[in-house]
Amino acid sequence: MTHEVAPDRLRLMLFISGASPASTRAVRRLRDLCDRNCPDGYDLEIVDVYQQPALVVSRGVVAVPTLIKDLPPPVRVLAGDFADESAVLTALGLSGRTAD
Amino acid sequence: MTADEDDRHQATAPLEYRLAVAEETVRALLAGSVDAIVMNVERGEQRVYTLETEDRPYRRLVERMSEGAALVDANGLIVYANERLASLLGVPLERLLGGPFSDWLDEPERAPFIAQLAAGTSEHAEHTARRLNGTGVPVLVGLNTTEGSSGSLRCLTVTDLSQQKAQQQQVRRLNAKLTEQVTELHRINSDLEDAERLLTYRTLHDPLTGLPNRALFVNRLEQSLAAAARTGHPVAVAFIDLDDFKRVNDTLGHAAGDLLLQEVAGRLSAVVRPNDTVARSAGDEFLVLTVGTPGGLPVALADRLLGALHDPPLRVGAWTVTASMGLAVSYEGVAPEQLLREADAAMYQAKRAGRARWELFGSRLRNELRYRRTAEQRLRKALAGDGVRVLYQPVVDLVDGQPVGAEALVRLRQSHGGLLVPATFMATAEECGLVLPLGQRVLELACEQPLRWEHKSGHPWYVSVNVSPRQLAEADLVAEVTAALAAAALPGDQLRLEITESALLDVDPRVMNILDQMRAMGIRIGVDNFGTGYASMAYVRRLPLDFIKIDQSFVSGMHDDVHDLAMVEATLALSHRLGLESVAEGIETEAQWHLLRDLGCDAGQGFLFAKPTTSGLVCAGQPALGDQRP
Repeated sequence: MTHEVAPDRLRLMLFISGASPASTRAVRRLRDLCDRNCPDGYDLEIVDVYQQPALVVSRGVVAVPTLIKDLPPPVRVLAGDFADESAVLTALGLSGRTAD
Repeated sequence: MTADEDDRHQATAPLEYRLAVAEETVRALLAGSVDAIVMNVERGEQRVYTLETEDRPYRRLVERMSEGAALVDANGLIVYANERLASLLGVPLERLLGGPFSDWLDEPERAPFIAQLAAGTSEHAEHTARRLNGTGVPVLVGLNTTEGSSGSLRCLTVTDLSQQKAQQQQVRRLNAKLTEQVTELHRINSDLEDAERLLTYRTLHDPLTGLPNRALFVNRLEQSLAAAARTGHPVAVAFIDLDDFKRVNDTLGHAAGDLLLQEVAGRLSAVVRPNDTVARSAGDEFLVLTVGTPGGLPVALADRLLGALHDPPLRVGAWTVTASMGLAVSYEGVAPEQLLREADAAMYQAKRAGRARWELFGSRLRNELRYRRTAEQRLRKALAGDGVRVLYQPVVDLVDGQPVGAEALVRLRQSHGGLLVPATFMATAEECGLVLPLGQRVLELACEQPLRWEHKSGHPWYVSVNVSPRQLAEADLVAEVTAALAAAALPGDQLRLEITESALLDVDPRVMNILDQMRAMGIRIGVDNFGTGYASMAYVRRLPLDFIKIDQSFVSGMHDDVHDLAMVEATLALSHRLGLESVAEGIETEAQWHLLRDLGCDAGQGFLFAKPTTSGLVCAGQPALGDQRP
């Protein structure tokens, strides 16, 4: 992965548990949200906790689903079902694009 | 980030990061929005605990329930639903999720349901759910508060009531049908009771007159006698018989006869007291039951009853019909049947005394009755067994004294060996209808004899049998005679029938026909005891006859009494004139024999020639002239 990215391009990592309905829902919602709020695009990496346990440990993920925003800093963690859109936007720093 | 930073990052996450993760995790767990938890178990092994895993047993239960189940949030939106609910509503499961539960209820029920939801109470209520295709389904919706991880979920169970409703309706239908059938049963029951009552009535009442029949009468008589024993008030029975009723039926027809009976029933009923009973016993017999005063005789009743039937007189066509009545009063210990017999005997007495009157049963009658019963029993016994004997008295040609035939004379053999002559039993025989079987027996026996006599003596004999008018009227005489002749293989011209004059014979076409048929078979017909009865002339005038028998009273008085001689002469002249054979009875002296012979009498019988004997002795030898003396 190249480090040469736009400084405020969103980089997300989403931890899900297989193809459960909640997980698929989480994926869908997130994608939906980002599509609407990130005109410049975003990077979303989906991690299956069953498939990459090491990553789970290293990132300290406990709850599923968990979303981690790596970029732009600071790192933010959000767990749950992402139903509350404004909360998600706030966590991702997308609401009004104000600096945290 | 540098690679180094990456490595460092990956090896151990910084504390503040880990804290942030932990915080977020806890928050998400409390919000109930977490799907699974990843735990580190010993030696670096990881386990992912999905909340699904935790509640899988419950989930399986819910999925497999026969009821629909759903979880709704505070806004009434379906968060979870099982397959059963989806199939109940005819909708794919995904369509249910996220939508309001109330949408699936019938429109008018939605608002109240939402209100209930808001109220937060638990309850069960019947609703109408609307399927996707619009059809309605009766359901029972159970609303429960549940302690969900979010705390605000409501648990719903939805039970399909269609089958139950259908069953309820069927039960209601069956109930209605049952009620209908019970009503019908009640109706049939009451119909049956009516029919039973009617049947009882009919078995005890005479259909023509509506009066009680004999059975009911006897029943009431029994009750009255029982009561009489207590109260001392005697019971009286009247036996009423219409005189010559048969004549009305025969000449005017049964319709006229029926009307007459109804008239009689009406008149009798009108003069009795409310507690009395008038019954129709049989044919033209009526019975009346009344309770009298102690020591009194039912004279007033008798006069009233008889008066009712004679004043005004009973008229049918050109006839005036009278009635004879017998009365009997109860005494201690008398049985109902005995009382009826006494009334009956008294009635017969009334008839013998001249009819159109009443007679009261008294001691003289009682004795007669007793005697007659004994006589009847004796006769029946004789008939049943071997008690009937027939003797034969030869009849000879007066010219040469040779036998030409014999008269059959019936006797009853008694147990001690004596023989009874008809005078002692013929009245009984007539009264109790035994004269027919008796006559038939005599006929059969008599027909068997002539051929035996012929065999012994070498010349043909005839046998002469007495026939009563009753036999002519009631028996199938032609058939009996034909059968008797056939059984004995006796030619018809060897049988003679002598009609006695014990009672009046109605010379009607039927009788004439019978006699004609007999004569066609070769049988000869004659009148017995000629001149003694009051019908002799009528018989001679009207019947097809072959011979006349001069009564023995004239024969025995011939020499002493000019009247008797005149009778004999006149009878002989008549028979000669009409071409009839003449036979004299009771010839006891030679003088009588010779005189009769000289007067032209053809044949005769009497002690001079032979006494009545058994068949075997009839041609023991030629009856010698003057051989046998009485």
